[in-house]
Amino acid sequence: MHKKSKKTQYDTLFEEELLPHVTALQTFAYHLTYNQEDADDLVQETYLKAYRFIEKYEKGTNAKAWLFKILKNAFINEYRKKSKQPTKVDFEDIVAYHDTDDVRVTGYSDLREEIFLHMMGDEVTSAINSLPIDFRTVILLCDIEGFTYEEISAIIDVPIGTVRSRLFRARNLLKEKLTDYAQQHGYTDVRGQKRLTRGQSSIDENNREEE
Amino acid sequence: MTNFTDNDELKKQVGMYFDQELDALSKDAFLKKVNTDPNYQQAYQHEMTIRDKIKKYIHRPGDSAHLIQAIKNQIQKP
Repeated sequence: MHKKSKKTQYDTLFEEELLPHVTALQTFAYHLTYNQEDADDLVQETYLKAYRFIEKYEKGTNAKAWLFKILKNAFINEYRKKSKQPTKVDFEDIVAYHDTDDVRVTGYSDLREEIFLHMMGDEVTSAINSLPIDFRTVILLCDIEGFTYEEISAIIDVPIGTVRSRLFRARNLLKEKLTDYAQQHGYTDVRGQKRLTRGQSSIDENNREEE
Repeated sequence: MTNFTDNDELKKQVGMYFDQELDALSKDAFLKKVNTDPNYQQAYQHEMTIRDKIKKYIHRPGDSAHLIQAIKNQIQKP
């Protein structure tokens, strides 16, 4: 009897606190795996693991971060399996880079709003998916899911300084890629040209004065 | 007139605000500046627009009902 009521409690907890995050997990999984079927398998595996260990989850705490951590670990385990088959590993996954405890903070202040006018819809997804996995992960967790640095640090098991550093570099890379996409579709950033034109006309004026 | 240092500080504050990295006091001070300083207001609006657009344009899987049902079916298995 007691055992049954415990199961009912866990089922209620699972349904009320864990299942509402399924769409967010699907989005994250999709951008890690690049396809819907693998993403759904990964999300399902995540929920089955969560259910198996549900007694470790404390009601009312951060269910979303807990689920994202389980998903990230499940993905890494799958990736490790694939890494034993070299042909399935993307080049980006084996390119080494150095994390630093960077204190710089960057947003999107230098990205022009106009670049989105030239987008057909999937350029943001393509740009994010083309980032190396560690950079893609922090963009998805911070900019798409709204996790704090502290939560991201717990989900991906790195110090907060590393989260900040990766985010700084990831956003710079994303801004470059989005600008490239926009330029390929006819966008021209005239900021530099205006400066050049202004500089050029003052040179011309000086030349005229000298003449 | 806004100089480079002010501008860097402004960018930093905006980034930290949207990343939820400001403590309660700094957040209040920042929002007051947004309401009173046009430079802050413009930077705030710009950052919010860009972040909203990135969120809007990213691919999100559609229907999750079938997946929820599949998960429920799995956990109900004896």
